[in-house]
Amino acid sequence: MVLNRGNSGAVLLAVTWVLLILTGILITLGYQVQLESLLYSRYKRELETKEAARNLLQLVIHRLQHDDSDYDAPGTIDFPYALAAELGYTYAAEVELWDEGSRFNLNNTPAYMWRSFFEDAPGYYTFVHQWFFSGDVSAYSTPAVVRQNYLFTVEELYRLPGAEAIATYENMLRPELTVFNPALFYLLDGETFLALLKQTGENYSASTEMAMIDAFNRNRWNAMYQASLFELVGRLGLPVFPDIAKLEPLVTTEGFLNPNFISPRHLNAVIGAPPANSVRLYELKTIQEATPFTRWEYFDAYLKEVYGENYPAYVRLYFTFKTRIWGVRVRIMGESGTSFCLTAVLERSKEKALTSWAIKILSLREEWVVTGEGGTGLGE
Amino acid sequence: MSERLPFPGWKRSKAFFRTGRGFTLFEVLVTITLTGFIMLGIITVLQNTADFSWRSYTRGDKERVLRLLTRRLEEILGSAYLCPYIGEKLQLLNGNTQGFSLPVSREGVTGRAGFFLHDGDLVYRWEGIRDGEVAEETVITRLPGAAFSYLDGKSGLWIPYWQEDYYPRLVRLRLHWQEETGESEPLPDLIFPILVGTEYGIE
Repeated sequence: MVLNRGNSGAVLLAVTWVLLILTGILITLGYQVQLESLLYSRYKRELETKEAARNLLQLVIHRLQHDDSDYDAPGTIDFPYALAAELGYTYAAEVELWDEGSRFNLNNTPAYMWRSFFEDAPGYYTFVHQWFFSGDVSAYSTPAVVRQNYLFTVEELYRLPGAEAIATYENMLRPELTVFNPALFYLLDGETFLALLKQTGENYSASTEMAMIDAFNRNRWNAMYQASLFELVGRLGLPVFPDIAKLEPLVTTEGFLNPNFISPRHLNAVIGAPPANSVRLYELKTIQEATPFTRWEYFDAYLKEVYGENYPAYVRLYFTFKTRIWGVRVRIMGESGTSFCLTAVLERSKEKALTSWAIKILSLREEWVVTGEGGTGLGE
Repeated sequence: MSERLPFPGWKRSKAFFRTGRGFTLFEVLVTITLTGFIMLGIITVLQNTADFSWRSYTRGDKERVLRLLTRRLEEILGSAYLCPYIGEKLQLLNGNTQGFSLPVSREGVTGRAGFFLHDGDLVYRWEGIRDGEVAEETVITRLPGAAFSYLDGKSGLWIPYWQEDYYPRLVRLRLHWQEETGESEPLPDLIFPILVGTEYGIE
């Protein structure tokens, strides 16, 4: 006897259909759940990565606070990975430190130094001068006596109208520029000094401005020695005595350029004379890395080699062997070719009464970058 | 017509034959197994669906709100700009309970960015310092009764207004989330550090 010969597969067929439909529903719902879970886990990973980078920055701060070495140089400021590992930070990370303060600041250096700094990039000099002194980059505007502009960030320079003129120099010059250092009193001229005063909110008549510039330039050589800003400004015989308390955050009389980090181009600009031995000048980077200057005598001997015996004695006032403004970059390698990059600028200072250094975070930038391309911001 | 048995030893009961037709034990077992699978699948699907919809319409919504707010606020507060060497031109964070603005530098562009609350909406506002370009964007709606406050690192107090010449240590957003039904319930406070301007070892 044949049972249900005609419809014996109907139940199985129905079950198969039901299973198929259910599978479809499961896959659909599963996809949504998976998406939600993916978003959440990615967000969690982002937070963890950011936290790791910030933790490493804290370690760097700790390291800089308790630094008791006599000098800073590229070889002496390696990040203590052993310490990080000991504390349980096992991320694939790179920590890079550099002397941000020894870079060149267009905001508070005189235009005559720019000419020397941009000696091999005259187009750059013209562009920068035009923008700072005229407020725009058109070739026909008349430059003012005192600079009219200043940069908030170095990157801003490359986003100004007409910046295509300097784009070719970006890779070469960008790493040598900064906005994060104070003006060094001994390198100022009358125009730069007046521009700084105006930044503090001072306002003078045109004739007073000219008198201030003239008095500064005439008497500046009376003030080329180590002293407080109040005393040195007093030696300038200015027609109006400025508010020193307002000026002090912007101008320092303590040298902050580190011979072990300064670039040949910047050194040339601060010395203000062409090198007698250019070859030796461009060996500076190698010297800084291989045999850093540990005392003034060694750097003095190097300067004499490069610039001859007659470079001015007050050059000593520009330099220090302990870095004041640090740049820090923490890079945490991520998945799929991206990495998290934290870049910070730290100001380090030491009061005589304190045993450790004080640190202040001046700038912080966090971004996801494509590994190997560096600087391509990836948002979320 | 010979009887076809599923396997040797299998016997059909007479009652089975008397009633005309029925199922073999094998068919019953297969049916039970399949039904079990189906039931298991259905229960799982129902469970997942219930979980998912619960997450979607209750906790998931709030989580997404918190995630969005955290991302957007951190992005701005983490880009706070401070350069002590360019004078008093830029006012630092300026805020009250209804919002704040601060100078930020992002991808080389400096501007004043901030968030403010307007009729239960959180609005992001950008104003370029060089070009004066202004942009506004509603980040999220349905935040009734939200309020910002600021932790003064010097006094250790949370204060509702900020106009100092230094950055607050923390910015807090206290908020409620309004459901589609109109009911609102408090969310955990969101607290963001401003690392820029933080001092270590300065007494």
